[in-house]
Order: sequence, then structure tokens, then C-alpha cells
Amino acid sequence: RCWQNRRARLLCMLALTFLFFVVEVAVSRVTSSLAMLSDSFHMLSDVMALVVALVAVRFAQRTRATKKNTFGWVRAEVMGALVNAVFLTALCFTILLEAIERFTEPHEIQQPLVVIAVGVAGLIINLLGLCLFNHHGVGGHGHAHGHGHSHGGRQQHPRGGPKPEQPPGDGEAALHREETSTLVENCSSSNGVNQEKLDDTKDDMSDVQVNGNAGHYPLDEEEVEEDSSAQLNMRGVFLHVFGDALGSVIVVVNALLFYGLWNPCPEDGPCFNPCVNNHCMENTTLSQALGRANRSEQESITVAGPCWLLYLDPVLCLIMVCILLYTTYPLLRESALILLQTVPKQIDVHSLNSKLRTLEGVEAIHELHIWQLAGSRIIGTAHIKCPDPSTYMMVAKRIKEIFHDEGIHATTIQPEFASVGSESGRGKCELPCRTQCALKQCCGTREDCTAKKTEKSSSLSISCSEVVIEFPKTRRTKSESIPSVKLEANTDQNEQFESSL
Amino acid sequence: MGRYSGRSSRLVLMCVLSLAIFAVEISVAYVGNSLSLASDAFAVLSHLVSMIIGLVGVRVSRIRRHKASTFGFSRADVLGAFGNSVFATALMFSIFVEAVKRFINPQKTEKALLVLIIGVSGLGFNVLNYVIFMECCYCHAPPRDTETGDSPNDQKSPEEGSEKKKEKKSEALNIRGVLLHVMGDALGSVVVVVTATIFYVRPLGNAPCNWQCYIDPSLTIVMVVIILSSAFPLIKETSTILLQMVPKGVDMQLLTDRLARVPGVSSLHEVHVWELASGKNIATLHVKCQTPSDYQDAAHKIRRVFHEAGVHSVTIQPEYADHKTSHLLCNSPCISKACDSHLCCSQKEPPRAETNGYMERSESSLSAQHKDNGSRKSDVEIPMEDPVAEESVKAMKNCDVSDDKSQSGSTRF
Repeated sequence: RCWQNRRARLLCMLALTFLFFVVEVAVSRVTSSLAMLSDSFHMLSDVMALVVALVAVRFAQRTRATKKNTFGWVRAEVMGALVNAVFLTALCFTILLEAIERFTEPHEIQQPLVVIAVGVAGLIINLLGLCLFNHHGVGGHGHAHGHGHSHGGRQQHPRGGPKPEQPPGDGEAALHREETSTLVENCSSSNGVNQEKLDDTKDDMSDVQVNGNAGHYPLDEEEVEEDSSAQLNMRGVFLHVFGDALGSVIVVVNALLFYGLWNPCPEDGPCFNPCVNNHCMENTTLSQALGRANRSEQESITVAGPCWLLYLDPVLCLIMVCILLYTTYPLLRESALILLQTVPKQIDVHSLNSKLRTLEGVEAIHELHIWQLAGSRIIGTAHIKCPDPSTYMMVAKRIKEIFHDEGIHATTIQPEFASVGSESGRGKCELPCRTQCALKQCCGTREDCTAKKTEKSSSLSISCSEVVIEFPKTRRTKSESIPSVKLEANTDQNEQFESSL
Repeated sequence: MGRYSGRSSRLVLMCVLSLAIFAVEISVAYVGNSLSLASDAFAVLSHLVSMIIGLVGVRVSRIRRHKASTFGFSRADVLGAFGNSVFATALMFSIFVEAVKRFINPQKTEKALLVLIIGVSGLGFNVLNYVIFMECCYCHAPPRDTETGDSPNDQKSPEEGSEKKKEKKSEALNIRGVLLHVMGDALGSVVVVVTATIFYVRPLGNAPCNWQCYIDPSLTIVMVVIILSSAFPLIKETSTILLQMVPKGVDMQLLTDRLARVPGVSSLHEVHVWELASGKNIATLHVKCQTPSDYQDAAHKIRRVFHEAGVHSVTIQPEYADHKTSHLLCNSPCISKACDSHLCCSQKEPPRAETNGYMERSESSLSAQHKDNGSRKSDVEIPMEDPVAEESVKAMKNCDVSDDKSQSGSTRF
């Protein structure tokens, strides 16, 4: 199972990393090397990233609605990805500060051999992690069952061409099956998967399901879970491990070069280190120092090795920070866009809107909202204005099909019926909540959504301040005749007005 | 610029000041080898970043309509606060790591006088910050009321009052994120001052480290703990919104009970309630009724129930019950069952639905089998089974389906 794989991988990597962290801390105590200690804490941040991803995976498996969350916890993985991305950004920032510090105060690496050894070990572990998280279960099973990756609208196959003709119905059941298979075909075609499998599954009810037998359901659910939200989460972990690997590479390279090229100051004997700036001393140059020394001692003064080596570390660190930020930014952006309830990028709201509006029987569309819950679950709501209920019945299925074609499968369509002869305008929304509530509605104050005019009694409005305006029941009564009568009541809430003077 | 104008100019001023303070503090920290000053500088910088996020978030969340987002970007506020807090947590974690390293390898603070001076000025700056933001967070309350209130005699005023309070509270979520950082900075400056004073009063010179060297890391750890404990509630609050959880003031059980009791409603399912941002609650549900007129009567009562619960954007999808479908299942999850994994709530699991016990139900037999074949047959239906309109529906032409089928009399697909 794919999701089991995911958890297993995360757990495995977690154990490895934690173990290595402990080992590194011990070694750093033994060799009293501060650099190794700080490197070990980088491993600890890795551990934290893995823990976050694990928690997210655990949560996201509960897709069932609960009392606290009517959508289930599917979004947890997107949140996990965001948290990891932000963590990574903070990490880059601290590395940046360290690098700047080392620019101003470069210091040499003590005991380069030990550092090399530990660095290589860390690198191996990180490379292992990279392999683990790189291409995990990209739906090898999923395709075989005809249910590929979700980005539903991206491959806009023309909906399987014209539907294959149905044999004359020999009872509803058979018709059912036919229709189901056709639709099933279309569903999978909108996912861009082959359809040949389905042509021969028309006979048996149990085979009509796209995913194969009913018994395959549990399998399929897990396979399909491996969709883009899970990928986001795994990407976060992958980037962390990648950053760590880069860090280990830098450590190893630096230590190697240091070991090879650096000319250290020997313990004994006079030594001049031009690279390290002592705050206390004046700026001295080599020649001055040589000049001060006696001529006889000139040859024995050793000069500490090439200075540029000391600056190699921070430079490499800067490069690493740039690489990491560059790769983290897309992850950050993607998860932020999902959490902001934006329209998924493969869907064009305007064209959807126009498609819906051109349906006959549809007078107006408003409050069209499309957003992505997580992964392939895209949710849409709309209010459709139709002349009367029977017209609505006719277009309802078509509407759902249009949504389905875009990859939006969870829709809630609210029909609204304008009364005959009302000039209430196409765009007016039958919102009972009045302007006080407007700020609390999702879409704020839109002038075509506030007042309403001549609706039937069905348009009883519930105002937040209990002022009810009904039409045409209450004409101007004698007791409350208001001289100012408006023909259009677009904005005023409390005034009584008439539809015709 | 809207009602945030005062605040955003203050924010900009604070940003510039913070940047300067950060530069000064970090250089003095390296010179004087004081961890607490370095971490204070660090905290000031994170404060700066959070203010920038706050500025951008507040501006962006004012965008109501945008082609990329049908809801506008009103959630930017919330997301900014969440990002803030996570960033602060990460930075605190690294400071903690530094403190642990100092425990293992203690170092002493040099140039105590310089550090002390900078510490005191940093403290002054933080107090100034705090004062400015505290004052501004309460001053925006009055102007808002005139925008929302129409009539004074509101019999729902306690509810309105509490809603307004909720609004105010959650509107300032991002500013709370900023406040969080400010408080942390103040604490950090106090720590710096204390440590520097100790080193100034009793300088160590060239002596090896004694107990004095451990004050710095321990106080730093205390500071980290305090800041984290105030960051976590903010994370919890914002993740409630971001995870699409049911908003705090809404009790789902109560709500669904009330909804199920509305006359005309046979059953309801797929009830979703979530919070977009700052008090804007949104709900969608599917309602099964017997006839369209049932639905139209019930719709308003349903809205009233929601309104009383504080949810003002409701989308109701009517479905008409027939004898073939279980009351509990959706007539139209999508046009076919294959899309099940893309639905927000899988139809394969027993649905979380409520039925109106008052309406008579004749499908007790069906509800027993809805788990197996009922779920297969009925999931592909579209709400057109109104018995009244069935005749007209029969003659309906579906756009791309060939003709024979529609005449066979089935409206189900």
C-alpha cells in the first residue's frame, strides 16, 4: 500500500536521523569539536521536519467528517507542507547569519579528519533519505486500475466523444448499468486514463465500477490517496533532507580542501596568521612582521595557509542558502495558495461561468465559488437562477456535468426561482441576510446581492435587524405611507418601496 | 486607505526602526560575544519580518475579488499570522540550540558596557513598540460599528455583540502575531541588560568562566519558553481556520438537530460549516425534500436556523426523495460513482446524515441495504426525481445522450 509506504519511509528516516544525531553529539563531546555539535543540530531540525510530516500523514488519513471538522482532516498534509517550508526558510536564514558571522571572523577547522568522517556519514544518510523520498509511489498501481492522478481538469479530453448509444432499455437496471459505464468512462477520461478497460465491463454490475471489483475499493482508496496533497507533504520532507545533504556536502568538501591545502600554524615556533584579524592588534602585514623579526629568523616563520580557504565555508554556505530558497519557494507558494482558498490553477472560473450561463434554462449564476480542499478534491458551490423548478430539473444534470468536466466533483448547487414578471434583475441574489450580515458573508457587500424586489412569498427575508420586507404582500399601507418611493431599491434597507408606482 | 491607515504607517515606521536596531545589535553582539544580545537582535529581526508579513497580509486581505480566488484574499491575514508564528517557533528553536551549545561550551561576555548600553536602548525601543501597538489595537473598534449596524433595536443584540467581538478579535489575529514578537523582544532586552550588568559589575577579565557565564544561556532558555508558550495558542487558532474546521461558536450536533426538525426536510447530508476568515462562516448542505414547494418553504427556515447559529453564507442543494434512494445518501454526489475519491467526503463510508424523525419514512428496508448495492445504484442520480415533474423530465433531452434512452422513461442516469 502506498500510504503505508509513506509512513514506513518517514518512520525509517526518522529513526536513522535521530540515531545519527545522537552519535554525532557523542562524537563531538569526545573530540570537543564545536563545528560537529552545530552540524548535529541540523540533523535535529531534520528530525523535526520528519515529525511534522508524520503527524500530517496520520491526520490526513482520517478523511471522514467529524464533529470538529466536517471535511475530515484531509488538509493536514497541505499544512504540514507549509510548516516544513517555513521551517526551511527559517533554517536558511540562520545559516545565512552564521555565514555572515564567519565572513567577519573566519576560523579554521580543527581536526579536519574527524569532520570529514562525520560529514561523510551524514552525507550517506541524507542520500539514503533522498532516495527514499524522491519518487515515491507515483501511482504505479493507480494507473492500472484506471484511476490516474487527479489533476482533473488539466487534461481536458473532449468528454469521451459522443456517448455510445444505449441499447433500448430492457428495464431500468440494465439502463442503469449502461449509463453508469458511460459516465464512468467519462469520469476516468477526464482523468486522462485509458478507457479500453471499461468497454467490456458492461454486463456485470459489480464490474462497472471503474476501479474494478467492489472488493478493490479499499486498495484503491489508498492508492488514490497518493495525490497532490501527499506529494506536497513529501516534497517538504524531501527539501529538508536535500538541504541537509547539501550541508553535508559542503562540510566534506571544505574539510577535504582544508586538510589538503591548509598550512596550519605549528604548535611551536613563531607563526604569523594573516587571515585572522585580531581586534586588539593593529592591522599588520606580513612584511611588517618580517621586518620586525630578525633576519635570522625569517625562514622559520611559518605563515598560515592560503587565506581564501577560510572564506570557502561561508561562500559555499551562501550558495547553499540560495539553492534551498529557490527550491523551497514553489512549495511555499503552492501550499499557501491552497490554504488561501484560491481557485486551482487548472480551472478558469470565467469560462466556467460563461459555460454555465449559456445553458438554456439558466438565467443567472452567482456566488460561484471554487476552491481546493486538498489534492484532487475540488469543491464548488453556485447559486443558479432558473425560471421555475421544472426548468431546473432539466438543467441540473447538465450543470453537474459541466462541473465534472472541469474536475470539480463535489458541488452544491442552489436553485433560485424568480417569479414570473419580476424585474428583479438577473444578478440579484436571494440572500435573506441583510446588509448587516453582509460583512459576515463570504463575499462582502455586492450591490446586486443586497436588496431584492418582487419575489414571491418565497422570498421572505430574514434580516439581521428583524426588519422584514415582503413583496408584493405589503403594499403601501395607510399607516405607514412614506412619501418617498423608489422604483429601484438597490441599497436601502429600511425603506418601503413599491415595484410599480 | 481604509481603516488600517493609521496602523500601516505605524507599521512602516516600526519596520525601518527595527532594521536599524537589528544592525546595531548584531554587530555589537559579535564584538562583545554576548549570546543574549545576539538573540535579541535575532528576535528583533524576526519581529521585523513579521511586521512586513503583517503589512502585506492586511493589504492583500482587502482584495475582495480576484480572478485567482473566488473568495478574495481575506484569508491572507490568517495565513500571515500562521506563517509568523511558525517562523518564530523555528527561530526560537535555533536560539535554544545556541543556548545549549553555550551550556556545553561557556563563553564570557566582553565589552560589557557597550553591550549594556545597546541592551538598554533595545529595551526602550521594544517598550515603545509595545505601547504603540497596544494603543492602536483598541482604537479601531468604534468606526467599525457604523458600517455594520442598521437598527439599534436589535433583539438579537447579544448575539450580534458577541459576533462583533469575535470579529474584532479575529480581525486582529495578524496584529496579535506582531504583538507576540514585541513581547518577546522586550523580554530579550531585559535578559541582555541583566547579563551585561552582571558582567559590568563583576568583570571576569582573563579568568576562566565561572557561574556568571551560565546566566546568559539559562535566561535565554527561559525567554524562549515564554515566547513559545504564547505562540502556540496563536498557531492553534489560525490552524482551526486553515484546516477548515467547524468554527468555535458553532455546535454541529445542535445545528443539525435543529435543521433536521425543520418541516419539509426529510433528511440532510453533506453538511459543511467552515470559517473563511475573521468571523465569516460558510455552510453548504444537501437537503432531501418530498416536493419543490416543500423545499422552498424549508429553505427559509433553514437559513434562519443558520443565521441564528452565526452562519450567513449558506448554499442549499435540494434533492427530491424517491422510493429508490435511501434517505441518507446523496442523490447526486457527482455524475458517476467513479469520482468518489475526488469528493470532499467519500460516499462509500456510511454518511454522516440526519433524518427528520417526524417525516414518515417508508424506506427502512432500503436503508438497510444502502451500504451495498444501494450505494451503487443511487449514487449516480441527479436530483430530477420529482414525481410531479417526472413527465416533463421524461421528455427531456439531455444534450449529448442519444435519444432512445430518454424515452424509456427513466430519469436516472
